Amino acid sequence: MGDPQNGMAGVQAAESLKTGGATSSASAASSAVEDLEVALKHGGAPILKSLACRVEPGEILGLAGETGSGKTTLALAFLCYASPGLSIARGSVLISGRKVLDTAAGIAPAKEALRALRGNEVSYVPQDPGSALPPNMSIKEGFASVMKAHGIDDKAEHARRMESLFETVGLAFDEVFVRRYPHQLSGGQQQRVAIAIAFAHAPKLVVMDEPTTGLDATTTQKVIGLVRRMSRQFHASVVFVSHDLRLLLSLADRIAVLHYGEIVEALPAQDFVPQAAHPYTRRLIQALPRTDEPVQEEKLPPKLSIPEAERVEVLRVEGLTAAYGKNAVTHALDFSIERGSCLAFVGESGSGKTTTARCIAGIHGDYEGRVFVEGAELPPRLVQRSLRQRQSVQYVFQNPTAALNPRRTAGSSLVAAIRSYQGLNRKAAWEHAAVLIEDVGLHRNHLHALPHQLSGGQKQRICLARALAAQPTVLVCDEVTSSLDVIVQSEIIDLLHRLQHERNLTVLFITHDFGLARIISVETMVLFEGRIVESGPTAQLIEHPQHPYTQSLIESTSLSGARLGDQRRS
Amino acid sequence: MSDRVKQGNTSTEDMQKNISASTSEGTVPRAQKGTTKPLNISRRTFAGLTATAALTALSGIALAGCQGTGEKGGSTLRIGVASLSDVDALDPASASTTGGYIFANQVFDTLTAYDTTGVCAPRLAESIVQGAEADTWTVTLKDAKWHNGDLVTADDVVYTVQRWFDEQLPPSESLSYIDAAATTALDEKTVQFTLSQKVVLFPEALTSPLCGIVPQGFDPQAPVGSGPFCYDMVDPGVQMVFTANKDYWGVVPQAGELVITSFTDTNAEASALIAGQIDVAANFDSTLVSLIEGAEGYEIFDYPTSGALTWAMNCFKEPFADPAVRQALRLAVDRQEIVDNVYGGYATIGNDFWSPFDPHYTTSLPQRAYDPEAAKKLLEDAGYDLPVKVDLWGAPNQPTSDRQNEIIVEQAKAAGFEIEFHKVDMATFYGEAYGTYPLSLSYWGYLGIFEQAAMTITKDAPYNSTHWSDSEYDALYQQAIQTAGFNERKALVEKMQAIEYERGSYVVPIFINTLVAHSSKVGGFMPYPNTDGALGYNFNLLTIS
Amino acid sequence: MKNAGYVARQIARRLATGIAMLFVVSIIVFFCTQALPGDIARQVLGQNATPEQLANLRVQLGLDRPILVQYAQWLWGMLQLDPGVSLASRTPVASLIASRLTNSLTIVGIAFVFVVVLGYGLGILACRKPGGIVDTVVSGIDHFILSLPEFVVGIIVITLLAVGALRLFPPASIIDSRYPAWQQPELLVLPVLCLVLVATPHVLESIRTLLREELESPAVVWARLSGIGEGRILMRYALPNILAPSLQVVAASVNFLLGGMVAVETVFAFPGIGSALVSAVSTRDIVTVQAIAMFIAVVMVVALMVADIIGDMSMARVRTKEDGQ
Repeated sequence: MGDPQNGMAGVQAAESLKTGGATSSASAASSAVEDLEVALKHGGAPILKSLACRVEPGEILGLAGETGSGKTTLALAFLCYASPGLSIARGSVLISGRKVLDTAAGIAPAKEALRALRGNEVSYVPQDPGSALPPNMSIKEGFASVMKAHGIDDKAEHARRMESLFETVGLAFDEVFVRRYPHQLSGGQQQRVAIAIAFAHAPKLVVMDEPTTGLDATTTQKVIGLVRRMSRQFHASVVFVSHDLRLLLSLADRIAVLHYGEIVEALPAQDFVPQAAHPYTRRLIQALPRTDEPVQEEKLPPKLSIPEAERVEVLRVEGLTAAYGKNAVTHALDFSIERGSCLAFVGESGSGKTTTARCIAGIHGDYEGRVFVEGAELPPRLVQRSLRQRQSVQYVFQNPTAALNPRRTAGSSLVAAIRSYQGLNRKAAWEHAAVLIEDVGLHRNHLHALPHQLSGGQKQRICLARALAAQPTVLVCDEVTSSLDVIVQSEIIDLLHRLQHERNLTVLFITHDFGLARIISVETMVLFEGRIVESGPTAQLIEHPQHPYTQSLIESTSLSGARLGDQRRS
Repeated sequence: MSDRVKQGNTSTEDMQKNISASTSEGTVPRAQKGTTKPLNISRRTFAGLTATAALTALSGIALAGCQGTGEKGGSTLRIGVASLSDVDALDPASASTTGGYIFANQVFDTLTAYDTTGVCAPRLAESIVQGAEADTWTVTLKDAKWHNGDLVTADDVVYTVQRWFDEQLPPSESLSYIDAAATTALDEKTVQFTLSQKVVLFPEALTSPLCGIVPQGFDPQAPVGSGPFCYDMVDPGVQMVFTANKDYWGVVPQAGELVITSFTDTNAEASALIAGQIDVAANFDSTLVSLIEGAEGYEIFDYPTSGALTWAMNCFKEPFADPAVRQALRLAVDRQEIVDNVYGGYATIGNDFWSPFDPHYTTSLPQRAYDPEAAKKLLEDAGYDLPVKVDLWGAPNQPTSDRQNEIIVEQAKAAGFEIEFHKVDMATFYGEAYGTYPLSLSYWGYLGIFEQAAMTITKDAPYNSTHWSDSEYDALYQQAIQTAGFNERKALVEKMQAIEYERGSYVVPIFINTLVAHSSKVGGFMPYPNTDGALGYNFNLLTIS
Repeated sequence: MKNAGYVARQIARRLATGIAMLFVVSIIVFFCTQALPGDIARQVLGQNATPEQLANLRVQLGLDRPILVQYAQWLWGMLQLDPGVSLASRTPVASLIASRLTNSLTIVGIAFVFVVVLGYGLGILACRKPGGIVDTVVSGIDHFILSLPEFVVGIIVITLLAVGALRLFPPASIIDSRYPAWQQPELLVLPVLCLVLVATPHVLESIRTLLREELESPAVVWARLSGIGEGRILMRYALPNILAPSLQVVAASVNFLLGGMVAVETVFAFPGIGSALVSAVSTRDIVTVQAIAMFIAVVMVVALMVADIIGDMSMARVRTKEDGQ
């Protein structure tokens, strides 16, 4: 497919995409961008360089790539939209065969024409509907607003369309529900509402920007099933942006991979894994944690370096029943971890895995049962714990952006932690911070960076370093890689392995992904509805899952994809 | 003298106006009892003048001057002053603020007042005559009426004096030598004061606005006086409104209504004047003169006074216990520069003693000049290591105070002083620490030489915040105040002021001019050099065209 | 309303916070004014007073009692809306400041209405076209005024509109004390104008910033990409979301108005509580100072409280919240 450094590679990829087998019968109704260049308004290298990309009616085009690869910028270009600070410098946009923008031919849509186009012929599903749905409008008002924007003022008509769309997306259509505000809905419901609104005017093209971020695995599966159904039903093109290659493999008809503003790979989904040729794409595929193929030896979790005789139990949990008010979410859990080893907690959202972790860390104090670290029982609440006890258990959150103070540099976050836990003076703390930050694979220059200047992976490394500043005995990692793309994810896993080995850390790793569990830890526990349904060596669970729940979890991380493909065609 | 003639003319004109007004109303003039009474010859030579003024009152109508409010309609005189206050008293004897003095001077009459030459003259008194010794004084009253139409009688004066002592009002402190019980009415118009000691300058002592005469049964909530204006309304700290007393014995106000408005900001006062919202800005700042000079239809009226911002050197504090240092500081002050730069020329230089308008004032001593080298030599000869450090405390007791304090810091450097200026607010300045400052700037003046000495210079003076005491000076003072002959007294005063000049504890660098800005429509301005406030707050003199 | 209980409790919480704040403020006001240097007795009696007279007056004024007793009595009086008797003039403070209070409230009230209308109005206009003429002019004027001290604004206004070429309004607010201030509107124009000039930029700037940020929020981007018109986006998507934070700014503008009031009253010789406060401080009339300071504090706290409550109610997230959620 060519040298990734060669600018022509992207064009070639795009050409092959345009003329490629599956889409050779490019219909007159297809939507496309051609010769697209998106640049910073105030100069500098373009974000996207001369891209072309096409999507047919009823087809789902997956756009994959890491943060900053330009995949969202490309998707938004279909809406003739560039984020603030960017502008479409060159190129053309076709919607269902109609040229709406062509800089070469001097076609530039007027404001009103653009407005009429968006939400009508091309619509958009936002990344985080929780913040994108207008917070002070009820579902009904939000829907009506989009209807009115495109000339449909009749309230009865609104209700009729809403009812049929809500039925399609699997939402209850009743007065109580439609009067609700976005914050009163679950994440899945919010995304369904957003999808329903996106399809409200039967668009030719729907652009979806990471619509499943923040949803748990089960809900994600349901939403992508819905996207597939809607695209078929409305015969609409879908441009689906995601950092999650596995998701795209199971959803998209074709997948284009963006790397530094160029399309380096464009293949039909079923041919993607076997045929992808670009080195970057190959790395992506190799970084996918999977359960259906043997894993390279160096990827497997390290063996414990401590001789069997010297192994000690570090964390012990007895009869842990955690509750929110009167609702118990876990039921008398018993488990323990030995020093230097890692236990994976696998389950879907709602299984109680996060709550359990939070109980151990003292964040959730409403539980019965006992938690011991190195033989000493911890009080339930953080405030009751001594400095030493607080130090002993450290928690790393799923979302590193939320976990860091946006106004503090990485260094000052680290120094604050070092000083409060180790009581070092300012100078010594800074020296220690420099050691720590290099320990987690960053450069000491990063000490002076603010969170927004760092990538997701870098931020997560800072969070890890901050946890290490406490010199913990037990490290609790809660879905720490789920917001990262696969390559970064595998780097973080490598880092965890190294730290665990070097520092004899005891790790509790929480994930919904059996593929991850397989490479992170020797032992795995499967949680379902607050109970441990199965536990044992990870490899053994994957080979011979006993519980049906375990089986379904393992299947969802298989890359053979045939079943998914079957599902979507059925 | 020309000022005096002018005043006489004004009075006469007013008198004629009054007579014609009353005759046109067809009222019969009262029996002219007053004129049959022999006129006493007072110490001063103004009896003739005041006699003509008395005629005015005698021919007044029977009705009270303030009751004809219906006819006030005509003109309103609007005057801006600096900061009225919530504390402004309606009782003259309790006045302690600018507003209180203004009020007292409109509504009440004192027995005596300083005139346009700065000399003490009778006011409500027709005459005030010393007895055989200076421990008895006989006051004959003018024919005057209270605002309610009643006649002002000797009994009212006795009541006023006894009220001071009965209610322990401030005049009972400053006039403690009055034997209140022995103060009696000899007849309807004559009061005899008996003093516990000889006080040659008793008439001067009665000029204080606090000594305003009130009628028997005086109610401070509804003040009735005999002054040129009648009380109408006071909004504390904001505004005072008066109506003209058409029956006033003196110069009857031409304006029907007088409105005094408070301005804390002199800029605001100047703006209000230029915009025609007030007719007179009664206390003006030399820095604003250019503003008025540029505006058509506005004028400045100014005259020198005895008011002074003086530095008090505390003899209880180093380094001022040493007379050499005190003299050095006096030489370290460039008086002309202060006049020019702080007062824009609206001041006259002083010679380190007070009361230039007192007839006893000594003019024979050479004017002290700025001589930093001589000052430095004095300090060095006295064995001081330069610079001599001094702490100066000051508050904005006058608009120019801060500037005057800042300038001495600079001027005295050349003389080897290093002065640190501590700027505080008024309440702090006059608080607990008052009298303990090594060096401080005080506002004094508008007094005769003996009053000033009694207040601030003699050993027992209540405001001798310098703690200076000089037995030779005190002896001369005691002798002078009991000496009846003017020339002998003046000789004694010369010795007193020479002592002050040689080793006193005050630097009296300048005397401040009073500046009044006014609309050209307003006339009748007169200087009152020995009285605080614009034209001594004699607003009844002002005319509007 | 299903969640009436929660809403009522939320309002009660806000009220309780306000009352707690007032209590703290009362402590600060009382003890800070006590700590002013200088002596009220000397201020009242003047320089002539003897030590005995001073001591007598202090007893009369109750200044000899323990400080906590004085505080308790004062607080109790305040709760009964009786601020006590002025130490300086020995008349009830309430009657002393009543007319000044009306005067000040008149200008501050009128100014407040203008500040709100202009703050939101110009803020919205400026945000309709970021970088457009309105935006540039408004932000230019804004920054110019923000860079000036309050009294300078006053002097500029006087120079331009009262004593310079244009003599449209009187430069000094010589309110005839016999009539209420609002019957003398020409005297109110410039003080109100100054207050508006002083306070509006703060509100306007904040509203502009809030609105501009909101106009780049995910909700607005989504609305834009759904074909919603810009006008509607501004009024229906962006404004309701900035209502709560912008009301905080509006409440804070009351602080600017009350602060500006003191300067403006001096510049215009306007008889209000600002100048009364200055004069009471200078005479060390602590009772009057305390009364006025507490009044100002109450106005500020109430403004914040009302802003909080309206802000809460403007947010669907709070409005629809139910107990236990």
